[in-house]
Amino acid sequence: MTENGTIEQIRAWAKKYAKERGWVLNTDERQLNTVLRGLARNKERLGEQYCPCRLRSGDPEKDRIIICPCIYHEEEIAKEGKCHCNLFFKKRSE
Amino acid sequence: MADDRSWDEDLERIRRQRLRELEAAAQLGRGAAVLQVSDATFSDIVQKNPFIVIDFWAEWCGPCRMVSPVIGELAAEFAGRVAFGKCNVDENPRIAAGFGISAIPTLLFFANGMLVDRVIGAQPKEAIRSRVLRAFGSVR
Repeated sequence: MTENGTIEQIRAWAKKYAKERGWVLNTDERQLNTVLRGLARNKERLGEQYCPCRLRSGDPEKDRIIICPCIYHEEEIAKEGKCHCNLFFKKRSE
Repeated sequence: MADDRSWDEDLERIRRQRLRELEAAAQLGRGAAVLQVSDATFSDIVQKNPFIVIDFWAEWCGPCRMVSPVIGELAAEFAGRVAFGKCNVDENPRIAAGFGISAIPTLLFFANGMLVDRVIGAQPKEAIRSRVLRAFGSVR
């Protein structure tokens, strides 16, 4: 699959995932596209959509925790209203 | 004669003061360069700059792109007092790993070669400026 195809696939997945949890994706399209592109590049090059805002150790077992959605995102969204990489956001009315 | 000498000294003092102000304004206007830090140059740069903030970033990290222009602005504002550098973690993974950086952007603050503070995540300019002043109190 081309990188653009992967980006759109990840965008669709992220939108659905956010909707199911009552969240939204970053409304700043430029920021959103940067993160989606980072996820797509990691998926294409490394086989997994590792978070582009976290450092990989190189050990696939250890790095499983930073595959998006990472193990930190729910707590970050609950506390900060968004995940560290600014992909998922709480809805403003919440 | 004594009055003339006093006048000359005063004029010279004013001239030098004005020159310093113009140099500072010019420095602020063009902005101080943000140093490019790599695994190879890290130690040398940290040793040569008594106060330095290094921004660890990567190209496809959205929040890193928010912090990057702020680092440029603060580099201009603190020119001559605090140095600012950038380290691409994709190209230079050793230093980031050495300091236990797991998320980017991360800012590391070094005073006289010692790590004195760190900021993780995209913070507003004011928050970063406050941390600079807190970490390097004498640069006010």
